[in-house]
Amino acid sequence: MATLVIMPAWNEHEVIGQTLAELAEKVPDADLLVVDDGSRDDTPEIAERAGATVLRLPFNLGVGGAMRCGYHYARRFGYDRAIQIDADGQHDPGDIVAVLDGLERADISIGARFADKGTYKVRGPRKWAMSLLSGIISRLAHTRLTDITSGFRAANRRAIEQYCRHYPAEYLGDTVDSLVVAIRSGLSVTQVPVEMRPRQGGVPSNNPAKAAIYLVRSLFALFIAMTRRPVSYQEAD
Amino acid sequence: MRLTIFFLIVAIGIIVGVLLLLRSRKLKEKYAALWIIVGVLSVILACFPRLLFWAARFVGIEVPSNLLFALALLLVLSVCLHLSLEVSRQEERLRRLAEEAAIQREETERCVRALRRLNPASLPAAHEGAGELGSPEPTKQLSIAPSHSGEETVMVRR
Repeated sequence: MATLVIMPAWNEHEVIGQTLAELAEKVPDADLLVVDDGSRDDTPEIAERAGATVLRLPFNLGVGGAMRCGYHYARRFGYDRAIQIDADGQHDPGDIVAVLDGLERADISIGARFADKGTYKVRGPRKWAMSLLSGIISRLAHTRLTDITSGFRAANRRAIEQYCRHYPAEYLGDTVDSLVVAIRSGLSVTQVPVEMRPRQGGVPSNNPAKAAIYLVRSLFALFIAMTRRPVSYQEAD
Repeated sequence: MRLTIFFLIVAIGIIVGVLLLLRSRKLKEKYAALWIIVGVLSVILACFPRLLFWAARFVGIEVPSNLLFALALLLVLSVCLHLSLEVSRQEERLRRLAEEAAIQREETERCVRALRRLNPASLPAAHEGAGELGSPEPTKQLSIAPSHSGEETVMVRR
């Protein structure tokens, strides 16, 4: 089974080499694809030297744009499975196999950080916002999902096709929106507990005002996604 | 009467201006249509100001100029919305093009590397951008397609 690891990267030259080396060691069979989202530093060169295939976007598109580019690549070259992972080392490459195994029972497998594993904690309004979101989407997907904003997700052929058709570049579009529309288009979702490692630099904010804005924006994104027309992926291109 | 002539000139000016822009291909027909309609309406109103009074009385607005303002505002708003829609569409297309450009570039680089390995003389080594095309260390696999397929051809699947 041909597997593609998609890693969007934007100015990640400090950490990407290490993450890629770890990936090459943990999943030697998979092809590594780095989507360079218009970095101004030497991220693409480092990735290339680490043995990854590098797609260079001519300008910054945002995480969603970089991700969809990766899924288009996976579709064009006929990969059976694709898994997206962050460049900053937050996701443990050792969990990739477990998340990929989730595809045996669903089209989309999410590596979830709250599923009784790990030490990563979010508190306050941001946590309420996230649990409200996961509650609604869990009901929609008929399965318990605890971390719908996770960027650690695997897709099978059906899901790759789905993402190629609907993967918005806007804020939260790459997580909430793409997931909700995939579920409404008839794809099944499952989650796999994974451990999140602390970010290599940068502190997650716990500012209540920002959390409130996050809540409003995520609910709005959810509302729009719920009213969207599902994508039918059976029809010909 | 002087005012009527002034407004007539303004209205005709709008139409002529739009037509000139169309002629020099600075403006596309689909955007021009709305402005030509505006121009024609202005000419009609300038010629027959009574029309505005009748229309205002008909819809129940006491001051005729208010009808004019409301209509103008509505028109400007709809033009703005139209432009926002157009920008969103352009952005989506640009995004798709950027993705495609990135994939094409990677494929081209892979082809150039493979070609150079097969026949180093086939391509000039030092031309502009050669540093980007040829990586210093050749990658392991020789095939042009990504490593998993193991075929020697460039796969173009759609």
